[in-house]
Amino acid sequence: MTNDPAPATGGDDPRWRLSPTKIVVGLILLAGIVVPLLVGTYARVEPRLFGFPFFYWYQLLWVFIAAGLCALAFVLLKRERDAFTRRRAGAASDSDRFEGGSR
Amino acid sequence: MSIDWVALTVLIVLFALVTVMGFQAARWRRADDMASLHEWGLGGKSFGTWTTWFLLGGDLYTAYTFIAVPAAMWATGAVSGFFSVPYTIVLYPVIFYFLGRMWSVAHRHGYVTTADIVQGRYGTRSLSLAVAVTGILATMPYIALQLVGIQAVLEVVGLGGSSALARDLPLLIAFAVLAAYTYSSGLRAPAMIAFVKDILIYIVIIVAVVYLPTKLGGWHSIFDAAQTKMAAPSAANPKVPTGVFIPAAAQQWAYASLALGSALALFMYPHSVTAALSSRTRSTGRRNAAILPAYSLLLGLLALLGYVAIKAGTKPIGLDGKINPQLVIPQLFEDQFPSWFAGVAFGAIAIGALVPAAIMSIAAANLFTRNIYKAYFKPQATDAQEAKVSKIVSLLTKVGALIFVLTLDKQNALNFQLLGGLWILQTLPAIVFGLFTRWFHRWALLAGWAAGMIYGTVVAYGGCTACSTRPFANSLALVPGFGDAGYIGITALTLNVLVAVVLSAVLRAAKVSNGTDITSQSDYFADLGDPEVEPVLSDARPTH
Repeated sequence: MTNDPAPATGGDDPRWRLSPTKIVVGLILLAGIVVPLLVGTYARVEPRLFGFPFFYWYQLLWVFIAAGLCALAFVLLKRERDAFTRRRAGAASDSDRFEGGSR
Repeated sequence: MSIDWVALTVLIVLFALVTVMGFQAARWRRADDMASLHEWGLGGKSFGTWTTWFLLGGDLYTAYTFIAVPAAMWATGAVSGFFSVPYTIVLYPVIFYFLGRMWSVAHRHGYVTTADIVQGRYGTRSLSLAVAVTGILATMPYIALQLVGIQAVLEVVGLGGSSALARDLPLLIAFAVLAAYTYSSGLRAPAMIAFVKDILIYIVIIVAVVYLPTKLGGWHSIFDAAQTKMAAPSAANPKVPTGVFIPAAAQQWAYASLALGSALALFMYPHSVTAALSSRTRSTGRRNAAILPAYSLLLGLLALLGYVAIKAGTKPIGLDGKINPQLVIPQLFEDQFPSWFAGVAFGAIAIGALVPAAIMSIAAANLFTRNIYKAYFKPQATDAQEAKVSKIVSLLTKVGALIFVLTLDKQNALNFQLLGGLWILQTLPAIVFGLFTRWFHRWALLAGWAAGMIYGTVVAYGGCTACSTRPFANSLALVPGFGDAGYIGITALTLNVLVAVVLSAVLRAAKVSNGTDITSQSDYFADLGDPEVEPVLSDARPTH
C-alpha cells in the first residue's frame, strides 16, 4: 500500500502484505500462465498419443495440470486464511492488530 | 434443403422445457423483495459452488463459441481456432489472482458492476464511466453473436428460405421468450437453465467425440486429413496455404498472444463479473477456477470436431447456396447422426445461446443503471427504481442486438465482437490494478485506457496482416519493433499500461489529487460470516 490519500480505515491489514505463502501461490499460478503459452516447446507432431499429434494432446493435458495448480493454490491460501482467522479469534478481545502476515 | 421435422420437433420441445424453467426460476430461492439489483441482477448473491459452476460454464462457453471455434478449425486450423484451448487453460490461473478481492470489495460495499468497484476505489465518475461504456459497447455485439448461433442451427434444420419473415420469425420468437423470462426472473433464469444447457452439451459432445472417430477411421486419419487440407493452397490466395496445422515459429506469438489476451479480457466482460459476483462466498470463484477447466476440455474436444468435419467431408452450405463455415458443426450432426440426436444437439446449442444472452443483457443493464443512470441522472434512485430501470434496459439491449443481427451482415457482428474484446481488455488496468495497489493515478489510468482504445481501434481498422477486405475483420497485426504478428489487444494493453505507469509517476510527483478511496484494506478480504462484514449498502461510510 502506498502513501496517497490514505484509505479510510484499516490501512495496515496484515492480509494485504506479501507472505511466503502468497509468493509461492503467485509463482505456482504464474507457471500455469507462462508454460502453456511457450508455444515453441510443443509445436510439433511427434510423439503422437492415440493418433493425436503432440501439439494437440499436450495442450489438452495442460487443462488438467492447470486445474491441479489452481486447486493447490486454493488449498495453500485456505491454510493461511484459516490460520489468520484462528489467531484473530484468539486475540479478538484486545486488538485487531497483528505482527506480520506470514505464518 | 427441406425441413428436418424430427430434429425440429426435438428442438422445439427442449426449447419449450427451458422456457417453462425460465419463468419458474423467479420462485427459486425466492427473496422477500425482488425489486433490487441484488436480487434481480445478482440472484440474491446466493449461488453456491455448483450453481456457480453451471452458471459460469454456461456463461463463458457460449453457444457462439461452440459454433465458431470448430468453424475456425475447419476453415483455417490451429491459430484461429485451437488457441481457445490455451486461452481457457491460462484463464483460471489469471482470474485466481483477482477474483477473491473483487468479490470481497463488491460484497462489502454492495457493488454490482466493475465500474462500481472503480468508482469506490478512485471516486472518479469519468473513470468509472469509461469502464461502464466500454463494457456496454463490448457486450452488445456479443449478445448479437448468440442470436447468430441460434440462426446457424435453424438454418441447418431447414428453416428459412427466400422470405425474410420465414427466415427471421423463429429468431424473433426465441428472442421474445428470452426477453420475457429475463425480465421476470432476472439472473435466476439463466442460472436455472444453465443446468439443462450444460448437461445437454456434455452429452452431445462426449457422444460425438467417442462415436464419430470410430465411424470415420480413427483420430490418426482425422488429423492427417486436417493436415492435408491446411497444407493445400488456399482457395482465396493460391500462394499461401489454407491454414495452420501446427504453428511455425513466426506464428507462435500470434497463437500465444491471442490466448493470453482473450484470457485477460474475459473477466473484464460484464457478464463474467456478474456471474462471479452472484456467488455466496469469497472462495466460490477460486474453487471454481479448479473445476471449471472441465469445460475447457470439452471446448478442446469440440474444436477437434472441426477436423472431424474435414475428414467426414461435411459441406456447410447455407440456404443461400454459399459456403458458411459457421454451419459446419450443425451440418456435421445433421449428416452423421439420426435426426432425433441432431435435434438434441441443436437444442443444446440454441439453449446454450440463451444463457449467456440473458446474463449479458442483465450485466449491460446493470452497468447502465448503476454507472450512468444513477451516477449522472438520478443519484437518489431507490433499489426498486434501479431494478426497474435495469429490467427495461436489459430489454433494450436485446432489441439492439436483434436489430444488429437482422439488419447487418453476420460478419459485422463477428468483427464488432472481435473489436469489443480488444476494447474490454483496455479496462483491465483500471479494474484490476486498483484491487492490489493505489499507486496508479486515476488520470493516468484514464489516459492509458484512451491510448489503448485509440491505438487498438485504429490498428484493427486498417493495419492488419492477412487483412480481409472488411475493417475490424482481423485481430492480428505486426507488433511494432518485434517483427512477428500478435494480438492487437495485447499490443494495445502494453501501450495502455506504459502510459498509465509513466503518467502515474508524473502525476504523483506533481501531487495531483488521486480521488477519494472509500474502501479499506480489509474490504478486499471480507468473506461471508466474517466479523467485519457489514450488511451490504454500506458505501455511505465517512471517508476520513
